[in-house]
Amino acid sequence: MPLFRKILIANRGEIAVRVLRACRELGIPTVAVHSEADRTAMHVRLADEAVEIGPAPAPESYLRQDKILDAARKTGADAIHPGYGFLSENPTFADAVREVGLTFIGPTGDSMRAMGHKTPARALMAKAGVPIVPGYQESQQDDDLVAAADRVGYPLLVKAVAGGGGKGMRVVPDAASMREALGGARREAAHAFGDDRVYLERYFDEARHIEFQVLADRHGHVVHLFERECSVQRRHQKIVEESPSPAVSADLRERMGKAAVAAARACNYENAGTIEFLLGPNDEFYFLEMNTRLQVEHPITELVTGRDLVQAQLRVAAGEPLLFDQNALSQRGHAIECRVYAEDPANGFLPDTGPLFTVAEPRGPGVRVDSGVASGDAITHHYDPMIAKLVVHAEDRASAIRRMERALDDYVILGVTTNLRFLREVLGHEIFRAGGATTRFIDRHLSAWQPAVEVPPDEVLIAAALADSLGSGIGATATGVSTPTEDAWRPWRRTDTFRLGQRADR
Amino acid sequence: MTTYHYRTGDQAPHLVAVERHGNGWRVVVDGRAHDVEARAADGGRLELTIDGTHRSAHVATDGKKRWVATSSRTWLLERVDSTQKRRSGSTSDSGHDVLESTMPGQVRDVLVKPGDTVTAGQTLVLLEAMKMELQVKAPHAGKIAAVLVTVGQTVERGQRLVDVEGNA
Repeated sequence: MPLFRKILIANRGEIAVRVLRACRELGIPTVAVHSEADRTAMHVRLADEAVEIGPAPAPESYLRQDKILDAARKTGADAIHPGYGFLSENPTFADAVREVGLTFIGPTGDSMRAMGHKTPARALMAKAGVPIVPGYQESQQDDDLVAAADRVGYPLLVKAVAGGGGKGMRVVPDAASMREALGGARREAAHAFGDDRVYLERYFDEARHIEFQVLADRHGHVVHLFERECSVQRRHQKIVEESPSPAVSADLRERMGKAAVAAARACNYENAGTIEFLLGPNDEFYFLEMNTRLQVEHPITELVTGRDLVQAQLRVAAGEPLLFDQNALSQRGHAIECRVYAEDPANGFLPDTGPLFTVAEPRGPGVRVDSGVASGDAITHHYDPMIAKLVVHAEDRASAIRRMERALDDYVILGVTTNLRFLREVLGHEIFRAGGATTRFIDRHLSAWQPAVEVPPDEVLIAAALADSLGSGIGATATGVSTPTEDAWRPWRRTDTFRLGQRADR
Repeated sequence: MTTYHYRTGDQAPHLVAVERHGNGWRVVVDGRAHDVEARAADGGRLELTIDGTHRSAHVATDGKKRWVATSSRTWLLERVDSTQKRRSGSTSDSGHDVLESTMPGQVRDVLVKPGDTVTAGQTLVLLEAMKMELQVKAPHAGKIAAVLVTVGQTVERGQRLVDVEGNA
């Protein structure tokens, strides 16, 4: 008896594909929803059914709660998986799904609300005994804040209560600049969020971002699946993650894991979630926030624990108890994830868009590619420019790094500028290799990175010229290649008459 | 024989000449000759044997752009016309174009002299390298301000050949 009759996936790209595959393995039919721009996207191709829900811009399609609920009703789906991003952390949507009698594969709206606002979440964590970043949020009076700043200590952060994306945030180096920073943060917060309330947090210049995966069922079981090291970030977005963290000892792991479980219990959590911690240089750790959904980087946890997190999500959402307790969980080997983006690392990591003429993914033992695009698809400006998550698993960290370097080398993506070379640079950097990367690593050591200007080897020019020769049909038949058309080198526009790879001597 | 010019970044273009040779090809890259066998596989992949060494390459074409992935690297080339047009620094504001050689070779013929009026596309100089001929053509109509080479002279890649004055 399958867990659900039919699951609708309210997402797109690689995560929709990931969830679809888990559903198929559990024998559950799937429904994809998609925008006009995604009519032939991979998640649509792989789903049993697909429903178009609006134009390309996300607010008119993937964020339209009414259309998604309507699609579920029309197709007879009895559960909705939100993936990550879009509506995944929207408590109103989680409530609305349940109100129409469907299962939302994720936590309750109330759990999301408890963790969704920074200052109440900090208060809740403090009450549950989870360490929070030293700070002050008890008053909005400037005099109180300035007095509290001395106790918090400098440097410190003034943060907007309603903040996000760095808006309404100021790093304050000393007491002399405190009042000016308060005013600036308030003005920016009022402008961006219509709410000028702020709070204070101690600022850590060299810290790590360590997060713990948790899973909770409806029967009172909460487990953690260890940590993910996510310090390698550009523009405050993670690009390389690994598990275990080279900075976390067995003792620290146990303490952080207990704090993560306590945090999940404090908000009556159910399903998969992530507790983000800041880890200071002396093993001091503090709660940052909880992500009340599946994380992008969940595969590294799956590889080191051997547990399928999406299948666990479905079981828990169906009301089943967790299949394992804390004692059954352990970490085996080392996993690394690289986020492969269509972007230009030499130009401020600006996203690139365009057709993907050729995508040839790396293979081999311990290599996993979670991708939502294939040859012939495109990266458009409508959505996130992530092409794939390249994930490797090996016996130890050094072997995992070597495996990742090999896999990055084997990855072929033609049509857009990618960060593959930059990722290779990160993996090869002595600080990363020594396990010493903090959240400032890329800013400090790789922000000025430029690809080396090199003369292409002759084989590159030979390949281009022969492709051009064959493409225009010059002598093509005599080489053992049937005469291709002008489109031969554009799989993008391939037709049935395109026949490459046939030998004339056959 | 067919010739192609490809550029990476803002470097001077590379000249590639391709001709049939036995069961394969003879490909001359900037004067370096290679014996090449080629087989096109699925998905834009080329299986090449270059001077006896095997190489796999993925190639995709996007207008003038050529994406080539081989030996763990991806290159973005731009296919350019047979002559590279580049304004010299000192005369960039006065409508001069100094044409440069795109390959090392020998000047076989100079078809214009200073003061001549030329039309766009008119052949100005003939170069020869590895038995290939390259026609250096006027990028636009104008007047020949200077001829910087003589017949029989050996030239390097990037060496200045002719200065054409006129509207770019």
